[in-house]
Amino acid sequence: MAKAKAKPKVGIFGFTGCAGCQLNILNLEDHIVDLIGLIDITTWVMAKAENSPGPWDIALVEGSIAKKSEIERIKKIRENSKILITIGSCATHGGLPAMRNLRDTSAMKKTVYGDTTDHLDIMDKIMPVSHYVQVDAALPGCPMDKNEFVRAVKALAVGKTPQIPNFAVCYECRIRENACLLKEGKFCMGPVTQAGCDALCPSNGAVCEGCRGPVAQVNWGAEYKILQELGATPEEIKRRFLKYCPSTADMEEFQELVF
Amino acid sequence: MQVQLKKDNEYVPHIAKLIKKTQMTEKETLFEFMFEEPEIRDLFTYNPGQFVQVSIFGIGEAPFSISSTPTRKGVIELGIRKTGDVTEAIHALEVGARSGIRGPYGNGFPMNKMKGHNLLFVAGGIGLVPLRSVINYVADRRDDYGKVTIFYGACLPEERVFVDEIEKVWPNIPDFEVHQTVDECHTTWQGNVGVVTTLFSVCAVDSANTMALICGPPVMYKFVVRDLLKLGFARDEILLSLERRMKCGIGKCAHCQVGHKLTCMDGPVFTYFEAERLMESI
Amino acid sequence: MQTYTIRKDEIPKLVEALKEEYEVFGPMPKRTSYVFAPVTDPTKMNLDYDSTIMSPKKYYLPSSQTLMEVSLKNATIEDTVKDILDQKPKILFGVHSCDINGINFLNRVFDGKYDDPYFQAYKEITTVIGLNCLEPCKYGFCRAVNKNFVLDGYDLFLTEISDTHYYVHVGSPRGDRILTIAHEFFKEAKEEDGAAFTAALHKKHENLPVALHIDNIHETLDLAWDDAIWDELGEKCMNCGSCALVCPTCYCFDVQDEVDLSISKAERVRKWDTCLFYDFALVAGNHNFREDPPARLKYRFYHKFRGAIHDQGEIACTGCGRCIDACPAGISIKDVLFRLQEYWAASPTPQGGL
Repeated sequence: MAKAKAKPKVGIFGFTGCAGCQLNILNLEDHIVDLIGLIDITTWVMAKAENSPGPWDIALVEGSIAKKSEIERIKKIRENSKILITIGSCATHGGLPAMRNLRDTSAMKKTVYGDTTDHLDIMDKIMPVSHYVQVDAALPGCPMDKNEFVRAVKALAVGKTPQIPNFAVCYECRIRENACLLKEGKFCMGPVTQAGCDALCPSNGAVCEGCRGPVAQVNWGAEYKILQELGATPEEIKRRFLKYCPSTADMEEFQELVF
Repeated sequence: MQVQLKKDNEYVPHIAKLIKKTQMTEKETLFEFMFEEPEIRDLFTYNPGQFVQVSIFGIGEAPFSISSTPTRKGVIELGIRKTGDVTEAIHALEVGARSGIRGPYGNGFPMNKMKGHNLLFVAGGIGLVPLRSVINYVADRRDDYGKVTIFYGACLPEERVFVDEIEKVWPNIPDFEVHQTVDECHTTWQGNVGVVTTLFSVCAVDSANTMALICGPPVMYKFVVRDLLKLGFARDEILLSLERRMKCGIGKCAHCQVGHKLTCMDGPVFTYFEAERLMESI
Repeated sequence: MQTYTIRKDEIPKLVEALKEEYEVFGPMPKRTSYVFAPVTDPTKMNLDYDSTIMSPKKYYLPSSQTLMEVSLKNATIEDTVKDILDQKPKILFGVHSCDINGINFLNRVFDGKYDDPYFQAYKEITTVIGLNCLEPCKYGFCRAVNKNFVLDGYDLFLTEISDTHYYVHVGSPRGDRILTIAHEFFKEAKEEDGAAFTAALHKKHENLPVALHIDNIHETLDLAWDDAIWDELGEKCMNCGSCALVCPTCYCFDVQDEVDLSISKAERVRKWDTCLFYDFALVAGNHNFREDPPARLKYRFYHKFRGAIHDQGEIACTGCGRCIDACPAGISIKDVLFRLQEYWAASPTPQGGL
């Protein structure tokens, strides 16, 4: 029988991102008291005055790695944690901050900061956490889904690996009985996007933006064709495919596409 | 004739207690379970080759072949490899812990049809788990069956399961012959090295009046069957126990569908004649 | 056998009357389509609906369903069959023949050597008021698969016989009971009503297309195992599972345990699964029996049109056409069947016969 283990020590850490995922944990009003009954949050700079320097049983990491100093920090957290879980798409895939990987960084620096940019500790490419350290589980999404987070904490509390679905958003979208938005001519990313959000956007009539990153064995070619037939330009398609997960550009199948 | 445990709800398991754990290798342990209710303990019987669904409540349920023989009543022995959440949780159970077991499911080996035949067992890795049930059944009803030859292959010597029986018990049973091999050479290993089919050149196998029982990793079947056919085995004298991901065990969820058959209902034991006709079976 | 008629404009009143004893579900508008949903406002229920996004299988096999609750303290198990039986009885209003056949098919799966008590409990509490389709729907091809009529599986069955009336067949004691509760809405059918019913059946047979022939489908599939069509479709298919989810006969499920936040109770939940998903045929040790996406799409067709004949005695397709509507990649099961029909026609025949 599953048994509650001794309360695991948990650290919650923010890197480059909007901090929305951490905020989402704070927003779990219905569950937060129960959650604190399951885990012992020893470090959380956003929400606590006193914070432990580690070690932790579980590290929850939000944000992408954009600065050199962040590499050292994430490595240290990894060394001091038994399990490291990324929360949100920035930490998992690079997310919105990594959109700048597709542009010229020096020009951007100049636009924002003018000629004196030497003090900036910015790397040319923004990378997901998994680029630097081993990640045991990932809860993608922009922001991370609250329910998925609760499920993950419960799983950890009984010693299970947090699972995220290995299929596309369409599963949840069909179960919620939405008519297919692609069929209505809208540029929906549902079929190529990892489920787990309960098809939040399509259920409210908005297309899936692909914020949770590509699904297992993603078929970029098929989605490309559909969007093209619906009138999307190659540039538009590329932008959609790379928006939350720029590393998609490194996928073999992606490189076969003509943009 | 087997007495079936008739239940209103086949999905609900019976509570069983873990009474003994014996570690066999780094990843495999032999678990002995006993039903809490004496009535179920009495009624529960099975055919070698059948499987049960084991529940670790809160973690999940998974199918396991039974390693014990129905000729030795009382406990259900399951040889389990640590490979996922459910199996890790089973490995973490302490003696006395309560979990759920339902079954037995599947067809098992045709023990009656096999009577009077010589038997060749070809097992790879933990494929020995269901075959051990047959081997010990045959050992207990020695007069019903002919000569027994056991081929056992593992990747490394330390990955072999049921080593005591392989080395000390089975070779001493009249008309039992055991041959082992490992895929990779090892300094202290004196025995045969090579995949399990290399044993066909170590030990001459006569296909006359012989049935072959095979269980092992998915990649193994093709090669073993090829060699058996060469030796003159008929397609229905080759019995395979197939592994699939049974979720319900009772023919509903379709996870274990192979071609037009369900592994949990029509199998897991198929003759090669049947398996050959099932798309994607081996 | 006594038959009846009912005025179309009295249907909302009938629904309202039945709501005392039953929870009534029927085709309700949702954005650009229809879904089976609680009939909150009977005037919104539209019996002229074309099709619904999801079939009524959800009332027999919910997309997510707790099978049992287990106390983690002392391992006591309580199954949820009684909870189903304790629910207010349901009426599914306006179920087309294809969907009744779908429920009948599921019944074959969930019956058998091991009864599925959950499915049977839902059946127990559910009354089906069927509805004959006299016009073809946008994607359906029910007549080609012999599912444009029902032999059983309904409690009442309505057929439109004029702009104002439905003809009513009673299929079971449960249907009879509705006549008892709401007798004021039903009139005994007269001879001319019977004639109008016959005319309606003729109209149906004229209207429903029959260009597709699948009588030798499983032989065709045997021949087409290595055909290029599967790779071609596999390239288009994104394995999103939409087709299987909306299908009235797809029944595959997964079973998972979920714990509550106090870790004192676990629920064993079954959820719809589909053979198109990567994990479906994955076994311990990470061996996947259908690793490649095209293999999974092909498997689905073979199971529907070949395997099901072995297991359930009939193909697992009611010709409802929902999967055609749902597929984002534009794969049409009807087109695939037409292609297989062409494949059959084009396969070489031996000179001079056998």
